[in-house]
Amino acid sequence: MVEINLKHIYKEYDGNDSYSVSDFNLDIKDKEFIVFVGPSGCGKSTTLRMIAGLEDISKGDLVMDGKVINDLAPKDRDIAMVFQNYALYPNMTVFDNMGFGLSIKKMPKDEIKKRVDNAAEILGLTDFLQRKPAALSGGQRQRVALGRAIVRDAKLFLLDEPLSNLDAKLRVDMRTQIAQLHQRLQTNMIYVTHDQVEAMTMADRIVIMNDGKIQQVGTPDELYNKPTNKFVAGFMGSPSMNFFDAELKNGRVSNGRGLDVAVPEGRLKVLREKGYDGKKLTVGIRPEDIHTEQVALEAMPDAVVSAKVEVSEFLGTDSMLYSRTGETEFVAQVNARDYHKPGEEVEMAFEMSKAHFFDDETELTIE
Amino acid sequence: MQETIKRKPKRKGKKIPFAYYMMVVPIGILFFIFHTIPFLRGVFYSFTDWSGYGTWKFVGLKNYLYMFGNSNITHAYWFTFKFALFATILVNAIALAIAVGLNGKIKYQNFLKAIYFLPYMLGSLIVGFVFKFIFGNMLPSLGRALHWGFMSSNILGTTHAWVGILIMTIWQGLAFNTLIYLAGLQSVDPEIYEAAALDGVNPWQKFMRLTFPLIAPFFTINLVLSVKGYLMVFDQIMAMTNGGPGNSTTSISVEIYTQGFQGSQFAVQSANAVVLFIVVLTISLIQLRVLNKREERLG
Amino acid sequence: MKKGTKLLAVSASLIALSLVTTACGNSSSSKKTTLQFFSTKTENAPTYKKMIASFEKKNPDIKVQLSSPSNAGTVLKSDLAKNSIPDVMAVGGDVNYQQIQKAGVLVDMSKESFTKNTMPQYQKMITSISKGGKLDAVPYATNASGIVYNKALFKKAGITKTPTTWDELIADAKTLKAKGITPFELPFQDSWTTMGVFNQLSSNMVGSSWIKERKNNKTTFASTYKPVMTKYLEISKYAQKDYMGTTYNDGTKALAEGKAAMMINGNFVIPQAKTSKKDVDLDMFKLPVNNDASKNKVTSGIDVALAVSKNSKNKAAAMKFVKFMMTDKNAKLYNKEQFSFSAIKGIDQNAASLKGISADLAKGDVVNYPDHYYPDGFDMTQVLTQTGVNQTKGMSDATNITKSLKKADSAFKSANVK
Repeated sequence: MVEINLKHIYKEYDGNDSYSVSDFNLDIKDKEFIVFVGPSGCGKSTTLRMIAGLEDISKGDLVMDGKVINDLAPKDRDIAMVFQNYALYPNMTVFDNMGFGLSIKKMPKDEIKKRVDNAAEILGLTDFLQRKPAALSGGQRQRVALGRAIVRDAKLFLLDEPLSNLDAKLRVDMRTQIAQLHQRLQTNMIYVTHDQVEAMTMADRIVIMNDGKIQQVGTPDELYNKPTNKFVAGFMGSPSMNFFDAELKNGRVSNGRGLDVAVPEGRLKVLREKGYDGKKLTVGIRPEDIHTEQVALEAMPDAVVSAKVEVSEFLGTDSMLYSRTGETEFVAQVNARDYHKPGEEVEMAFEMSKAHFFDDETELTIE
Repeated sequence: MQETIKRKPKRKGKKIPFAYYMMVVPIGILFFIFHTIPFLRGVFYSFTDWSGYGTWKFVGLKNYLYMFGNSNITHAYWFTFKFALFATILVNAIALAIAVGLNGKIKYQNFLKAIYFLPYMLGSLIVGFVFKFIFGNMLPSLGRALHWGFMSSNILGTTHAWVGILIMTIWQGLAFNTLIYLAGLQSVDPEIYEAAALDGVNPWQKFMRLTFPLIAPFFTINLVLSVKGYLMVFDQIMAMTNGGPGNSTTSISVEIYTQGFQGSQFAVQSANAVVLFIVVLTISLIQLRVLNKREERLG
Repeated sequence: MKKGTKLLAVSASLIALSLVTTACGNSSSSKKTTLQFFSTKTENAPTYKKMIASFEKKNPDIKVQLSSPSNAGTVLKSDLAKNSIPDVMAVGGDVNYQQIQKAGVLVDMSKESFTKNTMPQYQKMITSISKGGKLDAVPYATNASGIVYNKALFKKAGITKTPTTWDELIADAKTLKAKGITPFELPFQDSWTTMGVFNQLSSNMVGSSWIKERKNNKTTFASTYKPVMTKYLEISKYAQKDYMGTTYNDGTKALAEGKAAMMINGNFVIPQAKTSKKDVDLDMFKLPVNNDASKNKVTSGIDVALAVSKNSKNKAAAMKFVKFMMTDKNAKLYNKEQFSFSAIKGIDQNAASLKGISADLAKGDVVNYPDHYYPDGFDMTQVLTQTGVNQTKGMSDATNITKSLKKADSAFKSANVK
């Protein structure tokens, strides 16, 4: 049973006049797979490194199993880390790389061999144990880095963008491997990535960060369907959500540049209650919630827009239609069978019950 | 199966540009004239009894055999080996320590790096004279004032004169070796040290099992150049003791110079020079082989 | 390809042009005769320059180029090897002269008018080291070795007359030491100064025929030189504490500043010491090696002898220049500026700092430096510096002397080839 708490963690680097990480609060439950996700420079790696002990914590407490471990050396924190560039020891064999930490701890040789062989088997590295890192491919090196972490039998695994340097197909393979590893080892994992697909597919919970601050913590479903602000809404999902600056009037939102759709009853009530009638706000709608089928057009007549398809991307099951209505541009994700040529005028229905509304200034979701 | 005669692919117009020859050939010629030819002549003279002027005749290996019986020359070899050994070990150990220190997150890093490199830019003869003054005047004055008996006299006038020369050599030699080691240390990915921190290494283990193996190529360079340079030590000895007192600080190069020119033992010392060349060459080649093997082993 | 040939043509012509211009430069002064004057000493260059200036004024068609490199011996040897001997040479009566004379490239000076004016004792010093006993250089300036002493310090210690026997010298040393004055300043870090003491002891204790016997292996250092070494070591016992570590510059400075009373070397110490303190009251006296005062001679040798190259293209002009330097006026000038003594009869040295020794030199009561006769490659200073180190380390005199003389014999043997 391991419980990890980050309480009001701040990180300030010398010479900077603002915090790189501010007010980071998170309680991690036993065996959770947590993903820190966000754009470059948002502070996710910094936070991870603070947990590892490779960076000092400027303010706040890092608590593990009830003990404050801010000043504990990395080696005493019972954690294992996988680095983005693998950080393998170039002068040692795969076997020695994985067993290095154990030999430092003066573990008996046969015990080391048992652990290393075990980890090698899990990761399919048994044939490579006597090779040096220079003689391995990128994916194999990544697995050695994982193996090095596994043998430590640590309470917490930290992974810092481990798949960023791999090609697309390998990344998908390794994703599953890591997920399976988590199942097998049943330890806590904190995983940092800038790829929201990885976050969505691997996490129990996601911590999405921007500019050093936590934007939202929740399950993939929560983040996707109930984003708390515009940033989260725009970050999760690919292609990203369509945003329109519009005005709410007479039960419709319009932006005066081609978009004019009705707002469903339930949503309208909430918006009016919060005092947005006659006011400006931001409307967000996901591409997959914009439909071209006849059925949809008939079901939502007062949310139909006539748009011209400018670019049409065929993706196998779906097509992306980069369209424009009036002066408003947006993307619609439709079934591939619904083929439309560029230049075509198409009627599209906006499923406004699935739309999100954000305050213009605070960018928070209106709910 | 058709047999095709493999023809050398004709590279159309892919001749090496003339400009490349223009850059290399003139220097090559100059090198040959001013270095290779005198060298070959020196080897030639070593088989004669020429005194630098006048008549001469061939004497075969007489000069080489004479060398082994001459106590001055054998003493010079013994002294030079001893000196080179001490100098190499001390310079490299201290330089490595300094480099490790300079590589850490210390204040005024760039300023200190510049300071430590200054000695290299001074001519070794000049530094020798300065140290001669320090050993002859400054240190004895200080020693007398502090009543430290061992420092009250000029070390260069005692049997420990070689220590004085060693100190000066180390002081000056540190600069270059430190620079090389520093370059080596900076070529190591810092993430490796972070992984090692997680693995729980103490500073000694970090150095012995990670840092030192990873800077193997730089170690090779420094070691080979050190040994070669110190086997040929000359400038500082001439500046500080002229090979004395007695001949206690006479290195092979000093012996060649003083006896070859001032002493008119031109042919014998030519033989000495040839032997020195062979010794340095052999040692360097052995070193390279051993150290390159080590580099391979350490990946 | 075109670019390459163009570059080649340009560089070739540049090289050719530079060669032509340098060649032109050399032959521009075709009317004027240029004499190459080579000197093995550097300290008398200013005096030579003065003489050259007045000579050139008197002889506007002759130009004299002086060269006085610091490693003169090596340069002279390479000149010999190149067969480009300078027109006029000023060499010591030492191994440098010997080597050139042996090659037979010098003009015989014995019949010249100016030679007749030189003292026969010094002429003999030249002929005794010349192949065939010829006088291929005319003696010009001589030096004297003895003891240079600080008159003020002697007065302070109450020494009223300079010692004339060895026992008196040691007694004076004791007196000085008791008064807290260093008796002898020995600057043996510069190893050549050891010969300043050794030569004088040797010349007054061992006969001049000894060296010939040694060269023929009929005697040894070990059997003959014990008394010399005993006196050598006795001197070092009255020297400053760190004598093996004191340089010549620091030693002469100490003498000038009144830190030590005596320095055993040649008259050239005086101008050197005066650079530290211009008005220091110095004088010289003969080193009283033996207790029988009559047996003590001044060790004096030829500091400068003038020679002319046989193969010189300007032999007449060269002789003219030598004759000019040998005139009384110039001989006196050289004496004055260099605190030197002249080999020319009747040219006195009247400097106050040399009063104590001038009379002996004028009388011709001199003996040559033994090391002028040593074989090339025999370095006695190496032996003596080791002796000094042994002594400072506390080795007993007996052991020290035995070891040193043994070393001297083996070093002599190695050098005594051919």
